[in-house]
Amino acid sequence: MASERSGIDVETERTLIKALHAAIRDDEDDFEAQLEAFSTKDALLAADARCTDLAALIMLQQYGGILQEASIQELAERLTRFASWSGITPDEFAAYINAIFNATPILTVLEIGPALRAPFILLANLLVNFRKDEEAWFNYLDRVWDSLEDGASQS
Amino acid sequence: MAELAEITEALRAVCGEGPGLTSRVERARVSAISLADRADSHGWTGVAASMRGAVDALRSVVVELVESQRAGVAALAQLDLIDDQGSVEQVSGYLVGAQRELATAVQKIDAVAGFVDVALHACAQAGQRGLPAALTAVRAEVVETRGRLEESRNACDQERVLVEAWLQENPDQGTAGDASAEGSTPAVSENVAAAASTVQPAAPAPSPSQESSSPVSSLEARESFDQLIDPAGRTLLPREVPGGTDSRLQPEEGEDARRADDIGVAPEDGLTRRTRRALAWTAAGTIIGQSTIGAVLEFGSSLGQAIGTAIFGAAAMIIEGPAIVKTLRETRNKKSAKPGLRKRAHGK
Repeated sequence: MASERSGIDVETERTLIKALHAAIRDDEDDFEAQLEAFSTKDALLAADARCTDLAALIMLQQYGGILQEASIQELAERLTRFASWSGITPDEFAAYINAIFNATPILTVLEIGPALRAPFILLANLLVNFRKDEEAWFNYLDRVWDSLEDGASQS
Repeated sequence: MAELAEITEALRAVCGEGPGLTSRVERARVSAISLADRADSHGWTGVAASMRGAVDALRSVVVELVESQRAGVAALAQLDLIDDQGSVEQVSGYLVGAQRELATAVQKIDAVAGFVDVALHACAQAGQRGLPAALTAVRAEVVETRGRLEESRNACDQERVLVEAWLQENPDQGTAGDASAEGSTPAVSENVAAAASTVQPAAPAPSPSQESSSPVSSLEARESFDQLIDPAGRTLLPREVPGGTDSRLQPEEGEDARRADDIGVAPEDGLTRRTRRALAWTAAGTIIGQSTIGAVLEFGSSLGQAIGTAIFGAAAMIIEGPAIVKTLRETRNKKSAKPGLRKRAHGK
C-alpha cells in the first residue's frame, strides 16, 4: 500500500537525477535507459511524483503562484522544443501542468507514455531555466529538494 | 433546450468533482486494507478474506472512475473545440465526438456502481458497519454523477440534431466560416459563440485574496489540501500576476546556452551533496524524502498529501507492475518530425 506520506529511497533518487541529466543532455537513449533502470513500477511512479513536487515548487516560486494560461502555453511549447525526441506535444505538456495545479489524477488527462515522461522533462527544463547563473543544475536541484523537505518537516 | 455553454459548464462541473470522488474511494480503500490487516492480526481469516474482497473491489472502483473521468475530460475537450469560426459540419462532428466519449463515461460509471456494490456486499459479509456508510454515500454520488453524464450526453444529442436539421435546411451554409457569417445563422450558432466567449479555463477562478502579487512564501494561510487545490474553485493559492509580454523563461538562445553549460556538469557518481547526506541518514535508519503539499506551497498542510502523490497515486493501481518496462518501450517516442534539439542547441 502506498503511503500518503510516501518516501523515496536513495537509489530511486539517484536514478531520478541520472534521468534528469539525460534529459538535459538531450540524450534520448540514456533517458529511456534510466526510466527502465528504476527498480520497480512504484519506484518510477515515486520519481514521477517527486519530480512533480519539485517542479510545482519551482513554478510557484518563480511565477508567484499558479501560472496564467499564457505562461502555461509558453512553457509547454518550450518543453516540446526542449525534448523534441519525446514526441510529447505542447497540448500534452499543458495538460500535465494544469493537472498539477488542479490536482487531477494524471491518467485522466494523459496517456501513460507522456504521463511517465513529462515530469522529468518539465523539471529538467525548469532547472536549466531558473538556476542561478553560476550554479550547477544539480546544486539548484539540491536547494529546491532541501526546501521541499525542510517544509515537510515543519508542517 | 440547454445552450451549448450550459452543456459545457455542466460537464466541466461534473469533471471537476471527479478527483474528489476518487480521493474518497481511495480513503475508503485504505480503511478497508486496515480493517483486513486487523482481522488478520486477530486470526479472523473469514473476516479478513471478506475485507480483502472489498479492497479488490475498491481498487476496481478507482480504475473505472479514472477511466470515466478520462472520457468525461475527452468529451469536454471536444466541446471546447467548438467556436464561432468553425463550420456547422465541424460543430456536428465535435458534438458526435463528445457524445461518444460521454457514452464511454456512462459505461465506466456503471461499472463503478457495480464494484461499489461488490465492496458493500463484502463489508456486509465481514459484519463491518462503518465503511458501508461511507460507501453508501459514495454510491449515491456515483448515481448522481451518472445522471449528470447522461444529461450531458442527451443535451449533446439534441444540439447535434438541431445543427444537422439546420444544415439540411441551409445546405450552402455548412462550409468553414459560414456558421457565423450570416445573420440568418441558427440559434445553435449563437450558442456556440456564447460558449466560446463564456467558457472559462479549467483552472479555478482566483478569490480576492489570490489577486495580490504576494509571493507564495509570504502567505501565512494554513489550509487543508482540499482547500488549497480544489477543482471546484475554492483554491487559496495565489495566481501569477500577468506580466504583459515579459517571459519568465530564459530566451530560447539563453536556454540553449545554459543547457550547453549543463551538459558536461554532472554530480560525481550520480550523487549530489544531498544524496550523499541522504545515504548517510539512510545508513543511520532515517527515512528520507517525505514531502507534503504544504511543503511544496510553503504553507504547511493539515492533510500532508503531496501534489505528486495526488496526481500519480491512482496510476499505481492502473499500471501493471511487471509490465512497466514493456509499457515504457511501447510508449517510447511518438517521433517528432522536428530536428533534434541537440543539433540546434549544441551544433552537433
